[in-house]
Amino acid sequence: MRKLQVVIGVLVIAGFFAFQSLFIVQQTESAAILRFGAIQRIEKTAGLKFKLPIIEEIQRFDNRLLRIDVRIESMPDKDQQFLEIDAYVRYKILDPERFLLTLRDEITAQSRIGNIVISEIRRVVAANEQTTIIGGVPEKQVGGVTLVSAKTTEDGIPTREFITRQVLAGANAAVSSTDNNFGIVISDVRIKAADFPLSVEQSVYTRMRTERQVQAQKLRAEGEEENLTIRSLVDREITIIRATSEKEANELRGTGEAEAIKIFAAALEQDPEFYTFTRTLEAYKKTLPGTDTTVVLSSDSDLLKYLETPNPQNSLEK
Amino acid sequence: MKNKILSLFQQRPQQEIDLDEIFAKIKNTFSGGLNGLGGFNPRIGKFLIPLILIIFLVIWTATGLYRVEPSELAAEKLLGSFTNNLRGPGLHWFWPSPIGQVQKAVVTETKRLEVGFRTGPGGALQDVGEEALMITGDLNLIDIQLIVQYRIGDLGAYLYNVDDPGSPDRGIGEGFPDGLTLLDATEASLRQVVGQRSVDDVLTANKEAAQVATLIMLQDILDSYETGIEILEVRLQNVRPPDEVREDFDDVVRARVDKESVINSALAYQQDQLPKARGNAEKVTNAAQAYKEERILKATGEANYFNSLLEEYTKSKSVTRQRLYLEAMEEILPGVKKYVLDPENQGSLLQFLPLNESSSTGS
Repeated sequence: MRKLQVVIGVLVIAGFFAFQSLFIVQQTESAAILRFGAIQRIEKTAGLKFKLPIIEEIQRFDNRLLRIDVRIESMPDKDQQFLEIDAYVRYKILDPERFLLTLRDEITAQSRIGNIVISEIRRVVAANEQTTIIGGVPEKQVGGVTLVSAKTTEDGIPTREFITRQVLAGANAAVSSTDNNFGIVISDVRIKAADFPLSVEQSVYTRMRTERQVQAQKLRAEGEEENLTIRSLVDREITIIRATSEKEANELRGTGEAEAIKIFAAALEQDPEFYTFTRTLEAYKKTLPGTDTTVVLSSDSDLLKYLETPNPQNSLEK
Repeated sequence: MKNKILSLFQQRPQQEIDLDEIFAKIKNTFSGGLNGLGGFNPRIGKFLIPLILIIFLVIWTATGLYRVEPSELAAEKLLGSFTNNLRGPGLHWFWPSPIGQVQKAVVTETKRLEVGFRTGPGGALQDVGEEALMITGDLNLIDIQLIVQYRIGDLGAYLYNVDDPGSPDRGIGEGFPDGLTLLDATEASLRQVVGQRSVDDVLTANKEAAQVATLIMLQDILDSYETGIEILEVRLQNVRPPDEVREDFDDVVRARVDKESVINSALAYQQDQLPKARGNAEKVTNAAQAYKEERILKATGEANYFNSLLEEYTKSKSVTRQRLYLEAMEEILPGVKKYVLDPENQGSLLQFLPLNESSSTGS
């Protein structure tokens, strides 16, 4: 029994030392081994690691891509117009030793790196125009068609992307400068939002409103323009159609009359005297009856010459 | 038994606490075994310790069994280090805690991120104004609500590469990059893309192009972070001018409609009036044509009539002439007042006329 207890005792002590000297570094971590607060070595890979029991401590570091949400800052651009910039930073701890010495932990890192990035953004924003910060040229081709916007890099105006790269380069230079040397690398800085300050917003709305009003007015005027154009063209065409038809009608009537005259003349010229005679009789028939016409007839006229005698001398000689 | 193992596995405790617990367990087992049984029968006690150890080992090994659902993948970590092994659906075994660790995630499911609004419980939509409001390339403000559809493309990358505070409102825990990392990148992409376009482009004409551009930029950012997230779709769900100026934007739309309708009314006028005018023109020319035909026919008729008369007349001029004259007189004289005078008395014609009629017949 005593032997067993000794064995157990040894096992317990061995277990305690194993527990004190073995530790697991996770996939997402690296670990610094410190002896009395001084860094001995860095375990950068995941797995089971050893340290001296009791006298050595471990400090774990996240080796993933870390995130800093930079606070929203109002900053002036080149033309002293203010923009509210909301940005974020992604960084990685490259050298845990330096990180531990300079920043100690992620919370301190957030404010220190955040401040550096903000001042970089401030510097870059101050050097650029508002439209450059907001807009830019797409760097991609979509479906074979290059998307082009008003702002281009060709004549030296940087895009938003270009600006964030300037910020990134500047911030990386700052965090790795001999003064700082944080042991980190900033992988990315992105401007999430560049918004107008509240005070400017109202005047933007006013401008938008008037722009739209002009547009609406223009549309309506264009409509009226086209309306009047179409209608007057129609009226013009109608007038021409009417006039043409009248012209044709008159010509037709004229040729009709002419034809009629020609036909008459051709017929009548055969014996104008007979025509005069018959036509006069026709005229008598039409004009004389029906009215209170009084006709005075000579008793020796052709009609009445037989009234007194059946043989007047001058009747058939004609 | 199997179920029990599985349930044990599913409640895998944290590693370091686990070490303590196991240690305590071993100690308890030992001391319990010694005090409880050892005193009565040292022979049993001799075998008891290895037996307990073996049973413990068997149970511990059995807890390494785990099941992956058809929609899931599982990543295995050995002593904290990712083995690069991803297990598909089925029953698998891997070292139990504290040596091994298995992390499972649903990978076939299409997940969804909403920007500018949130779908609340029961499908109620809630606007998130500060997310939705952004500046366009022509310095207008616009409200955009956007949906990102994505899935986990690379589980290893998804689990181990990117730190993220998580997004509890969408049920995404700490350390998963589809939390704020995805939201950050989406906002940055969308606002850059919108900043490169005019307000009208985004509102109407080139919505599709903006979606594609946002998707490409977003995927690029996520790939550069090695998030393992695969973007399936970016959809501009609701693009509209802010409330403050909406009335004026709507008025532009109305003006466009007004323009169309006034042009249409002009076109209708055209369609109505031109055929009528052409019809009227036809009417006028037809009437003239009719007149012409009529005149010619009449003239021809009268000429023919005269010709006929003339033909007969020339045969017996005097008689016909006399006959025509007399016939005409027959026709005329019944309707008129007649006075017959002897030519010898012509000089005193006036005395026969009634004085009161002289004026009316004088002409």
